Amino acid sequence: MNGTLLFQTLVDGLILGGIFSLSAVGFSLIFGVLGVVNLAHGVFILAGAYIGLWLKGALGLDPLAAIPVVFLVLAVIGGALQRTLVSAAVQRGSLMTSLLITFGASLILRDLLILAFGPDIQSLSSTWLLRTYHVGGVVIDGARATGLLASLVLLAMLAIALHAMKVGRAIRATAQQSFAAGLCGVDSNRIYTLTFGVSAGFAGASGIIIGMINPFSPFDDAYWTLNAFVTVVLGGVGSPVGALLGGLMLGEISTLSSQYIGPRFPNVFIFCALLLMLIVRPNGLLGNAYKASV
Amino acid sequence: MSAPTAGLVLEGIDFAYGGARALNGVSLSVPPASIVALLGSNGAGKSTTAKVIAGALRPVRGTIVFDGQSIAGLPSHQVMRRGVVLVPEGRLVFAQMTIQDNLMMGAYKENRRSRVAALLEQNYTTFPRLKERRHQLAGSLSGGEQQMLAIARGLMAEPRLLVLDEPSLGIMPKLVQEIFVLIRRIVDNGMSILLIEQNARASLELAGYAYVLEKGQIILQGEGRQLLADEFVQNAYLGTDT
Ligand SMILES: Nc1ncnc2c1ncn2[C@@H]1O[C@H](COP(=O)(O)OP(=O)(O)OP(=O)(O)O)[C@@H](O)[C@H]1O
Ligand SMILES: [Mg+2]
Repeated sequence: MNGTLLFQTLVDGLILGGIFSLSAVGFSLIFGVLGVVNLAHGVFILAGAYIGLWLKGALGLDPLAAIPVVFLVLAVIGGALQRTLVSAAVQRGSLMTSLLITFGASLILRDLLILAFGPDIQSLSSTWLLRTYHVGGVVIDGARATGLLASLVLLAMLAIALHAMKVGRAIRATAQQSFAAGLCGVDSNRIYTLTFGVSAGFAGASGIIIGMINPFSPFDDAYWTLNAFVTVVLGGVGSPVGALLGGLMLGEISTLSSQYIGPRFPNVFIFCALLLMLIVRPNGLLGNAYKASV
Repeated sequence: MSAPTAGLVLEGIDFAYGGARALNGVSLSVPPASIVALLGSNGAGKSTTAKVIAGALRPVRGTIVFDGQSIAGLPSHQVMRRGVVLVPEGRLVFAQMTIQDNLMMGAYKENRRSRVAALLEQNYTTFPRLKERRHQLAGSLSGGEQQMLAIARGLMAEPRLLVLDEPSLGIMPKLVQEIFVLIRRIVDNGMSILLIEQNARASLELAGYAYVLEKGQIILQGEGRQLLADEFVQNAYLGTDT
């Protein structure tokens, strides 16, 4: 076995995993706190990439510098979607109804993206991102290195917000016991809107990073929603650390299997890993951050 | 109506779950710095009354006034800001959070950090057991300790009226005694308490005034000592426990 190749593959998996982690964390948070499976998650990610593209074209803003703007725009879109459609669906119907609502929202948002940007494949690369670096035989380009770093920084920021800030404590409390959180003075509707908004913001930010590394089109949304789903099943619901573990597993499984077994096989191995996880630890590696494991 | 009265006053409260009537014209009052007991058998509507007071359920009819202001129809996160705090039946601690985080959630409405720290210190003095284990997850506590935590979390909100829904449920007698001693002390500090209990004898001994709720209606009321001597109460609620 070629040691350098293995190392390169592992590094590629790490980078891919970092991106999967960031792109899944919002999905995980919404599911953990609201119990809603957000099928619009993939479109949020792509919307982030496209808004980054627009900011670059119209204002010449570097993709990395666009992250805070994209985060805010998507937080507003996500918060508004929760406040209007999702909360109504959950209150009047059931969590199942919210599945239909978010699916409907994803179709509408995707068509809006096509309307605004066309159906073609786009990319967000910047010249400084294309430079490559050689570290002991392993090749990393600027985009990937930046993407991994940005993913880790954003995940760490979320983890700190959830654990060290008052609002993070209120989010965790609401996720575990919304009735008791209300008795403590927490307005759970506000927490749900905030959580949905922040999650959409993280999805948008990950869209920028994805766009810096890979080409994207409006039709990728199901792929990203599915990846988020798998990441959450592997890592566990509701926490940034769970998303990180799940994402890294998914990244490594994808790159290792396509490198050593064949590029057409990653899905088979991912599916096997999913099955294995569901048998061994049905709540994912870390379990649900807000509910005791069964 | 007379001039604004201090304390809690419920008048003619009706409530139904869907079509099922749970409360039927419930009227009761809790004067400041007093202990009032609410007794009744299983399914009588005690917890429903507690939730209506705390704003978790909206009454169909009736008025709820606390310290002269109407609180009927307010959501629970606003009712607690008016000084009425419910320690719910079944404790409902945040199991996956540390004891300290649970307590800090109790002081959620308080924005001054120094005040939160002072409240923490105060409650740790009252509940040394919680202090020892403050970095442990609340879910790892025993049932009795979780009840202590739930009460402490309620006290962190600095209530003027604390509604305790069956604080002694499933707890060994020694700990129940501790809880009742604590309740006594809370009232000495000027807070008032609405005590919902199955443990009728102990709560009637403690309470200045008591109500008996059956099938959603207040069927009996009077001073604690007086109810202790009442034949109906003795047969219905004091027969089994001694
Ligand atoms: N969420 C609910 N949905 C429908 N009916 C309910 C609900 N909660 C309570 N009830 C019904 O309302 C009535 C009063 O219930 P409540 O919980 O207030 O009784 P309780 O006096 O607290 O009883 P316990 O001593 O067992 O705690 C009961 O008949 C109960 O079945
Ligand atoms: Mg009850």
